[in-house]
Amino acid sequence: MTRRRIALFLVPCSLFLTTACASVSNPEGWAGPTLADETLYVSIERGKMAALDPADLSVKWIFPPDTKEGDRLKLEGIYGAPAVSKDTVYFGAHNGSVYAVDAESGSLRWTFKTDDPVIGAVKFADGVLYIGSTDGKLYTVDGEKGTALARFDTASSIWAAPLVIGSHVYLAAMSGHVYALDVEDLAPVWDKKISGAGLLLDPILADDSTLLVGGIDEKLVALDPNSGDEKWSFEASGWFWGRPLIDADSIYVPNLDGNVYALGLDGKPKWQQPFSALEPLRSAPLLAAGALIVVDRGGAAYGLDPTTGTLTWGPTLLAKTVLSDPLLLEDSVLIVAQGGDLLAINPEGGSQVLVVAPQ
Amino acid sequence: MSARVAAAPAAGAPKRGNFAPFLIVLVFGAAIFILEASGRSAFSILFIDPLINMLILLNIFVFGQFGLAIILFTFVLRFVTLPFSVSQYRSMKEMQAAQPLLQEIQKKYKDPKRRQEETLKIYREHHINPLGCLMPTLIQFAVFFALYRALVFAVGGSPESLIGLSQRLYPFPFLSESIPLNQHFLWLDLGAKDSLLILPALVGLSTYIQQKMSVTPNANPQQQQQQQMMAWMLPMMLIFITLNLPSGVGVYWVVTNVFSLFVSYYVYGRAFDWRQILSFSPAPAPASAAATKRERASSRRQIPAQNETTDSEEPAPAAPAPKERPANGKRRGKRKNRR
Repeated sequence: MTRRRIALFLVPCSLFLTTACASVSNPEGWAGPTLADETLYVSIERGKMAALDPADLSVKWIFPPDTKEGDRLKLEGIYGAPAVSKDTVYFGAHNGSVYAVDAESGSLRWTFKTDDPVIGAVKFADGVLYIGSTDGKLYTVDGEKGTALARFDTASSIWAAPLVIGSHVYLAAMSGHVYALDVEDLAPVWDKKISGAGLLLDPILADDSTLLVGGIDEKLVALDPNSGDEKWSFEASGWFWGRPLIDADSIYVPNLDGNVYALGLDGKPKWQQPFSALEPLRSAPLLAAGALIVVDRGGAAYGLDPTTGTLTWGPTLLAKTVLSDPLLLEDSVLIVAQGGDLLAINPEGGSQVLVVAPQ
Repeated sequence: MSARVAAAPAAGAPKRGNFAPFLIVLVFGAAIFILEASGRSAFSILFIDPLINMLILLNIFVFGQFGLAIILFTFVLRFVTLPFSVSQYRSMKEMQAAQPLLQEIQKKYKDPKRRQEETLKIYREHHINPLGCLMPTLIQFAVFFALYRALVFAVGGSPESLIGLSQRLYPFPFLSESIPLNQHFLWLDLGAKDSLLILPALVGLSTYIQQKMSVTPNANPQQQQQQQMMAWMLPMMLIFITLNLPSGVGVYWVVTNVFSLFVSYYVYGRAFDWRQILSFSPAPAPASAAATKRERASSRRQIPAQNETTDSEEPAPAAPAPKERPANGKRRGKRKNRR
């Protein structure tokens, strides 16, 4: 009997130890690359932003640096693509802080702290930085000094990046509300509740009179940016979290149900059927060399005919988890995989041209 | 007593209830085979996904407090498995009462087959199911692992885990409207480790007390030592493990332990010596000297002619069935007296 008891203990104990090894899920980040002033800004390691030379992908600087002070700054993960203005790079991190870094040297200029993780990208316009935080607030910060200018509280959580157009800032919150705020003092111009579920998609203008938002309720909603009135909505079978690609009169939008949908500006499907990838799609689609390129979470890249949605090449299996938006860099498509590996594929045939871990 | 004997199943006759675990295993086995054959993760579909959705549903009932949802879920689960737990504790209590008899069998019979026969006879007479603790333990650990995975997805503390959650959420609007879940509960971030180390300490303490309450007193010094070691080892191990797990799993563990303490108290009642919890010495043998005498007298009646029996000898005809179940609480004695 004692042996049996010991065996009964040993089995769960060994299982326990396995669990202990698995530990908690850590934020890794999925910031896409940004090209500005002959420099490529990309998160090549968990919680680190790097400036690379786009010609040979050599590293100019990494922030935070591998110093004692740098080690103390635990960014945890960078999700939003950086915003670049003249000589400063701005980006938010999962630790709740936003960093302004010198574009030339990578040295820290200032830090702005919010109460919770910053998931959506920060936006820079006219000397002002717009920061949406999961603490539910939109902050405006002086781009030079890093001092707070104004704030707007949604009493919810903000996961999407703000959109700054003219005199308005458009904001989508996890309460299902979309806000148009005055760019100066963040006073509400209009406020519409369009869903009971959270809005994850960065608001984007499809044309001058169509603002697109979407999220967990599996709907892509088009609003009038002037009034907030709903124009149309399109329902999929998964969450909308990937940035749509707007090309002339077409909207190509990825979905976590693994489909890419092509819609007209009136919300009507343009393809006979959506294209189905093997895994969920978080990465934004990209047009290059006449092909619509999409990459799913499992790292399978596909080249589609943008008019019909049929497969022209692929899938090219990159064997990496891909959640970030790709970037067209000269004649290749640059993809940042989870963990920071840089992958490039040829948009004409889908062949993988290189796998780089920047040095 | 005669009623009890009549109610007890005949030796060797299968009890109807005994088929239930096998039936459950069979149904789950078939479901797992079908799901795995279709290329889907059976564990996810059968355990993790329902658990995630149930937790999110409970989260709605407790006004978006996910910590309370975990506590509510633990209570629901423990109430559902209460019959298993009570039978487990009763079985342990009976085992405790039967210890002197079992030890005497060990001493008297050298032939393993004969020893086994006599042991099984004692088990039958005392209504002990040696595998009685298996089902609650298995349920406990299956839920623990599923809960761990569920928490990693539900409040994993990272946007990546939210993408995983999107693939597991059932398509009901009221579920998706609860996302993202509130990760904060008391001082804890349910998706992260407890940096203050309070929760691991609570897990260790509650497990220690629970171990002490449910340990079967034993006369064998070697077994006493093993039990004593286990009473320390398991809490220490759980402390270490809770340090590495999302706090939500630790909350589940603490609530489970507290619930088990109440069940233990319900089953053992006054028979349990609370001072034993604070004692670092092994749990004593089940009976005092006087009680041992009574037990021995009782066992003499139950184990036929054991003093004279050798392996080669046939035992004397079985004595009449005992008139009372030893050390089985006051109630039955009182009822008998009333009769």
